[in-house]
Amino acid sequence: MKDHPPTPTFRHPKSAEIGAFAVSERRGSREGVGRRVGRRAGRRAVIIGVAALAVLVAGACSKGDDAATPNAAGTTVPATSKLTQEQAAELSQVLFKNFDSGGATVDVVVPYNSTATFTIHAEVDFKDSKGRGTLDTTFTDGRPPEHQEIAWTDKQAAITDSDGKWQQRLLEPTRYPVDQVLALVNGLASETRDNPALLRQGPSQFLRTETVGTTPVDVYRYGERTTWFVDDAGALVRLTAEIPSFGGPVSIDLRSPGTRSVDLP
Amino acid sequence: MSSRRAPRRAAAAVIGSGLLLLAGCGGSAPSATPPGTTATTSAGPPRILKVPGDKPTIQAAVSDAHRGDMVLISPGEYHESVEVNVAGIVIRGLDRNTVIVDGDFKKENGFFVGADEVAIENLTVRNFNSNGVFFTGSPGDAPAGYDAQNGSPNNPAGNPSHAANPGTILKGYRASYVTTYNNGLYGLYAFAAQGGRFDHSYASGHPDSGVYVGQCNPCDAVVTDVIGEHNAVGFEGTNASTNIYVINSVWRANRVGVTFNSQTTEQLAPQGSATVAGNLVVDNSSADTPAQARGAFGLGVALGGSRNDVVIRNRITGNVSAGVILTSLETFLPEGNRIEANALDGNGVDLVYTLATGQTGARTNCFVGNTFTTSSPPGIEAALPCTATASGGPGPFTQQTAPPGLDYRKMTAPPAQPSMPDAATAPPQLATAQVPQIDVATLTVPAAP
Repeated sequence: MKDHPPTPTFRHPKSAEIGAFAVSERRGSREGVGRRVGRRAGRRAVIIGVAALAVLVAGACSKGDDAATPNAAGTTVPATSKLTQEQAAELSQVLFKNFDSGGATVDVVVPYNSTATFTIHAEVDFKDSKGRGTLDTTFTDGRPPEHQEIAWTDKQAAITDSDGKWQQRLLEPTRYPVDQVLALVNGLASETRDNPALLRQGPSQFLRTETVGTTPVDVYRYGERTTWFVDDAGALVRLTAEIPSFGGPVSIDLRSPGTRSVDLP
Repeated sequence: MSSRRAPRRAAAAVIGSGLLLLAGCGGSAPSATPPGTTATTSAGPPRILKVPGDKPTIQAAVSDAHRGDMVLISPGEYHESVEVNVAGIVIRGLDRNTVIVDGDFKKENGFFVGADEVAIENLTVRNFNSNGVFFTGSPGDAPAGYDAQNGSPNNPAGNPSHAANPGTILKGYRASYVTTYNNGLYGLYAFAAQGGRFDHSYASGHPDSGVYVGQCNPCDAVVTDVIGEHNAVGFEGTNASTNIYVINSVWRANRVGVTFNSQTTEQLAPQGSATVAGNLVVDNSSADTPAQARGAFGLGVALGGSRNDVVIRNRITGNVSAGVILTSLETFLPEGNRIEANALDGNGVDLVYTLATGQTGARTNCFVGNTFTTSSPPGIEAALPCTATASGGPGPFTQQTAPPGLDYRKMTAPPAQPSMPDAATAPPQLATAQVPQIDVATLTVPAAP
């Protein structure tokens, strides 16, 4: 293992290859991952998540990102076009709808760099801002794929090491890229709606209609650096976010919205 | 299209002038270019359009109305969302508590008003996904320094945030004797609007603020004789500056009673030159409220990054975190605010001047003539006097822990509220935009509840 450069995967804290995605040595926090996170903490997570989203996507776009965008029918939506009232209303309720639904199954694909991509498949409880699932890392440089379990709240992250034992630490989106992604997932739900009036005044735009799988969706640029795919029922089925330090856009697919009971390690 | 609009406007102006005389509220000419206005199609004397007598729905009556007309609504539940694009009309319920416009948590706004000089009176609006009553001009651009995700405003100097395209400003609005509850954002909402008045109205159960005035300078607005309770915030004014008065109202059992603040998410920051006077601001520490998005709790009057606001002769009690707090918000520092002659008691800390960690300066705020027992910094009126140079700086502040929030859709309906006098016979009055003439010196500290 020491012959290889640091990878995006979580590492055992004693590994010599601890990189940006590593689990740190800090363990035994007073509030363990297994402790139930209350609703207030959940709200904080929403705020933190959105803030983290801002941080992690900041500076990701070039001027070219504001260029006109062709839609599915081949026509072009001017980059300066405002959302209509109806579009702003649809967009404003997406995060609230996620919170209201309770949770979802998520599939997250993160092209970390030119040699590594990791995928998270997890069940997420939006009410309490926690999730649990698997983290798979694949490499293009010949290393074998890695498979781990992962769990998180708005405060803690945990992952299994090579022995299958859970290692946990504080969730630190500004320090660990994977935590940026987990915070992004936590930030996909909000206890309150967005304000459509401010959305119309801001840079958000309707881009086009298309399908995700077989599901027809409206595609929006939300803010400046995330793209949202919203189905006919107003549910978010996919989000992509450009994160400057990553090798490509992070993609999050959401399925089967509804209450989730996530047991943490 | 332009050849058709011009004569309509001329006709509307004639009608409007006549109505102004009839209603005795002259002095303001009818607007020539109301934002979003759809010109009416014919002239004629002002009419009363009865719902459901003359028209089956409120929207049908509004769509048929001309400037000067009044839509008069009989008791009943109206499951519709009303868009008002004709200027200079009055929409009135015959009974405030039994004329109910209901969004069933499926529709966006009870009334979306995009035209000048519209008044809405004497009815109840509930269960909308966004707002109960919303007056607004057309949207402009995001202000300079706006960060799309609200996480890290890019405005390090706290400079005014003006946009290249300010949009269109609605001029003249009013909501009187309106009850709003359990809407998804605001009860009464004015945004990019000038010359307005919210009076004798009530708002509860909103996960944002019961009453909101935003992005206006000068606002020329008055909020008076309003009750806001069991909201996340009673009243909020973001980037709402100059000639804006929140007076003679009751803000109780919210998480935050009254706040003015500066934010880069809207144009026209920083906020300033507002007056909060003669209000009862009590017990804004209620768990029987939806959560506040920033987690605020237990605050009576909060000024965040405000400039030259005046908080005077209010009774402010029972707010578990702070009675009056001046603090920074985003990168905006509070400057030049005057806290005077308020009666404070039983608050976590009665008077607070504090800044976020790492921020300094802003010693121009002053405190004088208040009745209080606790402050941060201690001895705040000596440290930050209004008649001498400040010797003190900000003090520490820790907010009390906020309890979990409630689902706004499940909040208890409010009790019946007083109806407008003579609703069936009172002549319609347009919501003419005027600079408010408020003699603050006549406002007194309200009696204890």
